[in-house]
Amino acid sequence: MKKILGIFGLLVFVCLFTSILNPDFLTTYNIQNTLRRTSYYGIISIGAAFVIITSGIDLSIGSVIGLIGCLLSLSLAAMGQLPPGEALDRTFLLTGLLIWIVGATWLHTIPFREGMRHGLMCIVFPPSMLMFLEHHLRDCRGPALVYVAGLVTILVGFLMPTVPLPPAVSTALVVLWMLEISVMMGLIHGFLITRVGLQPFIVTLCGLLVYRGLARWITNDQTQGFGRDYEGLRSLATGRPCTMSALILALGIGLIVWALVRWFRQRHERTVSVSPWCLAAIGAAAVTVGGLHYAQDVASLSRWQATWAQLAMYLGGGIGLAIGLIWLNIVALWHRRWKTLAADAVVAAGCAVLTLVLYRQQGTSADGMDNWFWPLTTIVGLTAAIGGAVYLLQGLWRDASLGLRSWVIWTIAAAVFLMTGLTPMDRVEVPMPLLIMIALALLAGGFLNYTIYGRYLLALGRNEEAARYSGINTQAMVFMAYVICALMAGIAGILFSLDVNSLQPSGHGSFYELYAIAAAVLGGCSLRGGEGSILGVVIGAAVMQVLYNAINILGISTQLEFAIIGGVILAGVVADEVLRRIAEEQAS
Amino acid sequence: MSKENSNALLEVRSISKSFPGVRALTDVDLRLYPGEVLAVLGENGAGKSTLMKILAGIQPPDTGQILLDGRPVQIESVRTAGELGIALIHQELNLADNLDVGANLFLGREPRYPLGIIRRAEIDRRSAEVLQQVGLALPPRTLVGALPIGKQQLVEIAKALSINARILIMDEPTSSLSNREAETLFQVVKDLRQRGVSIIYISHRLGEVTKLADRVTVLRDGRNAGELARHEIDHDRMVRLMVGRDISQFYARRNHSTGSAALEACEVVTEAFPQHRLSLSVRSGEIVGLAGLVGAGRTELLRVLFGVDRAQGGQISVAAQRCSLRSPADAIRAGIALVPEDRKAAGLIVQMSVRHNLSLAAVRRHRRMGALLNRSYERELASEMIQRLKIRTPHDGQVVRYLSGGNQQKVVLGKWLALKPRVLLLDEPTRGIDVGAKQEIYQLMEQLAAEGVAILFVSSEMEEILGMADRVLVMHEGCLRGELHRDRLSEESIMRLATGGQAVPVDA
Repeated sequence: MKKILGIFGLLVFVCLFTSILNPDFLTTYNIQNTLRRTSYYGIISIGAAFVIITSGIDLSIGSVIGLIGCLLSLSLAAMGQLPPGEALDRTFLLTGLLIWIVGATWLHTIPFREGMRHGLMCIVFPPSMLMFLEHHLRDCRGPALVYVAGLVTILVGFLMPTVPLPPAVSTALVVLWMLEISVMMGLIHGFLITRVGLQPFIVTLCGLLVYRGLARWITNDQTQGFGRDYEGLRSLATGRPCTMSALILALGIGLIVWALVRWFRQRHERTVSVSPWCLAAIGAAAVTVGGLHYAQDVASLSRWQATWAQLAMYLGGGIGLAIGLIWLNIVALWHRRWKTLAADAVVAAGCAVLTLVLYRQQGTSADGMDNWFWPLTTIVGLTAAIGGAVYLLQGLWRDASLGLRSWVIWTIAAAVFLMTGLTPMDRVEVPMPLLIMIALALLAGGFLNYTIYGRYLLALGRNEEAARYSGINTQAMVFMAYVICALMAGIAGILFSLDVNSLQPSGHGSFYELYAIAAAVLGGCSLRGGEGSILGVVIGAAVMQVLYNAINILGISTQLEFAIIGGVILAGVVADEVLRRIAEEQAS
Repeated sequence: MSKENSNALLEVRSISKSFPGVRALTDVDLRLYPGEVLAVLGENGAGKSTLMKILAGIQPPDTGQILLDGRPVQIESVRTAGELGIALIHQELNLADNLDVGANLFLGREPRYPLGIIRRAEIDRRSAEVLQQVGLALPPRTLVGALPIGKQQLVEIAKALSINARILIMDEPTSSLSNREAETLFQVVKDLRQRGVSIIYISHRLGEVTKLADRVTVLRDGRNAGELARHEIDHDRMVRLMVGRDISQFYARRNHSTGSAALEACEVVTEAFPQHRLSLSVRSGEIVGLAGLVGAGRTELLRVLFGVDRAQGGQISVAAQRCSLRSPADAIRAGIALVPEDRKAAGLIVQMSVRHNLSLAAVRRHRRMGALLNRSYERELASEMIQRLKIRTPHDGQVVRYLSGGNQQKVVLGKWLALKPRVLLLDEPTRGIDVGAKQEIYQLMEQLAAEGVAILFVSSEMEEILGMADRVLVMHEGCLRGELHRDRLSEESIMRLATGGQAVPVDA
């Protein structure tokens, strides 16, 4: 939690810093663009995080992106050449192959005779399956079924009569192929790492080289693209389904619901990281901000109404910030923590200056004060802010550290609202990839935190031996992590290629794995394994993209790009390490 | 005391040390005379290690004085301690496996020519000298990793001697040694004492303290709890001082009826000793001890029984059901649980909380909707186990690393109790844990046996085997040498079998 706060603070800081130096940072186009890039990198970073949690590494992400992009373009082009209806049987073939590989790999765990693994026998000589069933039916009903299902599916693919399909369906099937291919790549990595016992670094390094070579070979190094075709498919990357205000509204509602669920579920929990009240307060504020903007959006308010709504937003944010700060100071005074007090005075002064600057830049006019809309919005904004502070009080009263954490979250949230109050949110449209990434992040986060498999991953990342002794099938878990990583890379590969629409097989996706790993580490994953949160990783990816954007927008030489991003990551990791040591020293 | 204070080689005067939230030491005094073996005893958390760390210069004391030869000294760092002639030998050995003995002895202070070129010949000469002092006839170029653990321990002692240590602090030196190796170590300790080296000896094994110590100092809750002179040292007195109360019944064994065979192994072959076929059976409600020297293949046998290693042959059945154990998961499904020898490496995930460790094995059984964690079950399980096993932890979210050894071991046990196993395998269940926790674990074993769990435990502590087991199986070099029933148990009969002696005829 602390790590997430830290990285989120860094994100907010970089955003504020950049927007003060150049207000263009907050233009519609720029925000949309940054969000879209963040989404792509966020997706691959989530994949990388899973692998890093198992204390492994995946260097092949970039090459998978390149290969999948090229394959997608080639397959779509080939599909245009084929007689209609060829798509389905090929899908069966590919799916069958995938299932068969899974079954054979699974069978591989079961010894056939002494020193001989059955899975390999099955691959070399499928009829050996029958002998096997006779001997070990009880042991291997599951894998055997999967194995046979794979063979049957392949057979169906061969015997399949040609079924004419509408073009949209065959396009969708091509996308499915890409996902299946990326899963297969993950399976190969997993097999080599867990069963053959090679090191993840080597396996995925070879993957990096092999996939890149394949991509160049199958395309003959020709630039690939989709031109103006496949409008529907390309809208996955370029579409803008809704405005930002709607998304914030939805997120706010989601946050409130989550806070309520947490409150009911975790009343007895001793180790809550953030007070549910705080989450609810932030949710309420988000609903207010989003809702107002949304109303503006839908009802197309007049210009002055819009201006006041925005003013209310950031007044709300500002007041929340002020209340939080004042409260912190009271507490610090109460406990005679002079250092905190002094540090806080500096922060408060900084915030005051910041608020003034932002206010000036906004250049609001004071027309229309007499309208009903202004008092209403202000009251709602204020209620949210004060409510947040009051709930913080509760957290503080029950548990000082909980209250402090909640306060930090609240102040950061307030700062965010302050900024959103300044952005033309009703005009910022949410890029489709952002929605895809949010969906994937929710899935991944849920998987990691709410399923037994997520728990197993975290456990084996910390101590694989102990996890195995606890009856966890660690090899299967590691397998899964590499499959998830490759799948995420595959999804991102599809989106990247649709977005770029003109890919060089030799360079598309190069180094992306390093961005993904950097974002994961920045977001709180430890390369030693066992640590990491999806939220942190996504924020980490956002920090990298905002930095990249800031370098462009502030007119810093792009030649320095890598140096700056590297420097910031290094600073972040060093700060994290130093803080951890201090915390440990205090604890011991 | 017969000797005057002024004679003391090392004197510690009212040392106190606090950590945030904990007072580790309060006004602790300690005196060490030249050429004596002083045993420092205490439960885990009594402050022994803190005191030793202060003496070895790893941590500074808050208040108090340390006098060496009657002069106050400041031990600021390990280097200072070394210069003063104090050396600490950790419980875990600090040797580089990949280097040879000589290189290890002079690591970091190699005699060298200009340009940092090592004077290897001199290292060899000086190494041979100190190795001789500890009775090791080894060429200095032997690789440390190739030595058995007992000899490594002696190398560690030689290393301390090579810096001319006058005071040797040994922290549980025998915890990973076999009995024979321990005997060698005791001999070396006695020789060193003869030559005037003073030794502070920390051990949980009271038997060896009785054998070795000239004097015993006991710490309890960070304070001096008492001292025993040579003639006063006996088991009961030491235990009483350590726990501050009388333990009349240390090993809580009662007779109760045993059921049918819960675990049967028939002609099992382990990877380490492919030439031997091992057969054994444990009935439910029975506690069976597995004795033998370190390296006799006891751990290997347990690993096979738990599916960690695959059996190279033979059959294993649980409750008359034959099962093929390909992984611990299979064994757990069959109702077998294993508390491993090294709890930090294989028993626990030390960075995770008590609650998550307790539920790690059982979450699968209690999952909801196929894969979701059942958090309320986890909470209930944690509070139940903390209460039942008396795990001392501030709350169930505490990270396991910060618990004491005994409480960590209880967490491992709790993890398995959550699964209600039929067969419980324990590998050195009380290694490195304090007397109080030991007794609680014995009581738990007794209680589980009464509930009908079959228990097979490996132990290198003779007392424990004699005290707890209904029946003892003795292993020697990978082979089950014999079986001793409770009425025939004695240290001698076990040792005879364990050292490869003739099997005593088992009554028909």
